[in-house]
Amino acid sequence: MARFTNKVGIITGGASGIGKKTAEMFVEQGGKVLIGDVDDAEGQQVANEIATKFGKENISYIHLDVSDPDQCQACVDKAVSEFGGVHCLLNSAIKMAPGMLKDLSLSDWNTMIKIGLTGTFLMTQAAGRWMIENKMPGSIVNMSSIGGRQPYGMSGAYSTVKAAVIMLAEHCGIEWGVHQVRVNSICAGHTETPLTAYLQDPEIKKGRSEVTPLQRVAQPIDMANGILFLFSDEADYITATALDIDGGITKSVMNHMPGRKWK
Amino acid sequence: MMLEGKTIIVTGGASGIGRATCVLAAREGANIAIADINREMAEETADMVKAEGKQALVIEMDTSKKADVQRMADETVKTFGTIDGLVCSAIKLVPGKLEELPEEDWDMVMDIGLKGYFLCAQAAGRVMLEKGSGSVVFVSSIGGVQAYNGAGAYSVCKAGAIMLGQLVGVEWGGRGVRGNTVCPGQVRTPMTEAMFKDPEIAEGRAAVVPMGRVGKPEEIAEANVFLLSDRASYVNADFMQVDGGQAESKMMHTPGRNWGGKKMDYSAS
Repeated sequence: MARFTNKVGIITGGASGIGKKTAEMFVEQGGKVLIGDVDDAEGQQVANEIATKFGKENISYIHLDVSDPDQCQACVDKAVSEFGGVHCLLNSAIKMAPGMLKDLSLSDWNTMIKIGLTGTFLMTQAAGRWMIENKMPGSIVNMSSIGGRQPYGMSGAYSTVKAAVIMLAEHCGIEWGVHQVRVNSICAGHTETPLTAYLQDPEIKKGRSEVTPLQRVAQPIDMANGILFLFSDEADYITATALDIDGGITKSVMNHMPGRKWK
Repeated sequence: MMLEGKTIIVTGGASGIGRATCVLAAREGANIAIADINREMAEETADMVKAEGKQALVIEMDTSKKADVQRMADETVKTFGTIDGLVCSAIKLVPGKLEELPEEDWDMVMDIGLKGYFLCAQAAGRVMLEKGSGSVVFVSSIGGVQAYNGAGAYSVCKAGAIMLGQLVGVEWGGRGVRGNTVCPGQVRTPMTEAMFKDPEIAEGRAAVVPMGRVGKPEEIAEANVFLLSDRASYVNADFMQVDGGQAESKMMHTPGRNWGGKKMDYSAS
């Protein structure tokens, strides 16, 4: 039996990057995935690719704006009607709206809060309700970031949202532990995805590699490996916590002090 | 005055943050026991305490030696009648890379900076527990929350100090003795002076702090005195970063932040 046999996962923001990689690997390892995204062309394309590789009965796509509670419910309903339930949920949908706080517009603030935080709550609630009402153990993972651990200047509401989803996971984790629904977060370091297209600039990529103790930026598979671990039964006793997958960067502030010659 | 009539012990009181704490605590009304291995400089601190109009007691001692620590507590009680607060700041810097660090360097830092904190807290704590009031303040470092590479046992020692401070607060808080820790960022003191000698390095070290400068010993002393005082009467088992924001500044060092085609830097705002 494969790792995710008889398991159904919903992946928001699954049309690209970390969500896409996680979807592929979840299906490859025996599970069924429903991808939700606002980019229907890309999302359908990813679903088609996975269908070709691993069978069309294991993958589906739905248009999903996570900030709309009806669409979140429709997403969960589709997973239940097509695949028989939902056991895993990855909240990875995000929309970037960077800016300096002094100048940040209310609409940019609201955009990121709506997609990144409210959307995470709505999807978690919709999936969690199904799991609890059906007495089905489950695992929910929120994509957070090193920006949720340390303030990411110039990122608009990003750091605030990413810190909040860590707490939201912890909060759900303690409320739903009794139902065997585990809720955790992953704090991603610099990861090469379409969202971080700036990493295509070799100079930026080199610079960001150099500030990471492991001396490289991450690939989506680095995150997917952690997400799938938290989804799996191997993580059966892990809830209400956050896993940093960042090459050590969050703990490396002191690396940036010049002249550490103490003798 | 914040510490009127109180008796405060400061380990490492001969220089730097310890000395500044002695002087400020005296200015706020406390008599000071200055515990240090360096008698000569401790005497200088004593003169500064006396200049504030308060009494000073110099105790030459090694915080890693239990007998010395007990003598520190005994002499303080004998001289001033009691102990109301303890600030531990004695430490020795013995840098080194982990793969090369000699066992004796590890032991020296841990003995002074962690076992010493424990011994001092225990000896002074017993006196404070007896009367049901007191405050223990440990000087840790942002190196206790962020790995300070190349610094030998320093980061581990300072992380231990934070936990020990929390433990003191949790075990003794219910009996009137609070325990807290202060985590200074970069501070210019005799101990750290060598790091700032080169003006270019000094500038670079200031630049990595969100506030754009390193700290002064007096600024750390302010936090220590606040935690010693009754103004902090509900602050317990906490640690306070006094670092200009440096411990949370990791993401300042991210190259290439020009998202969405918008070129941004902090100075632009």
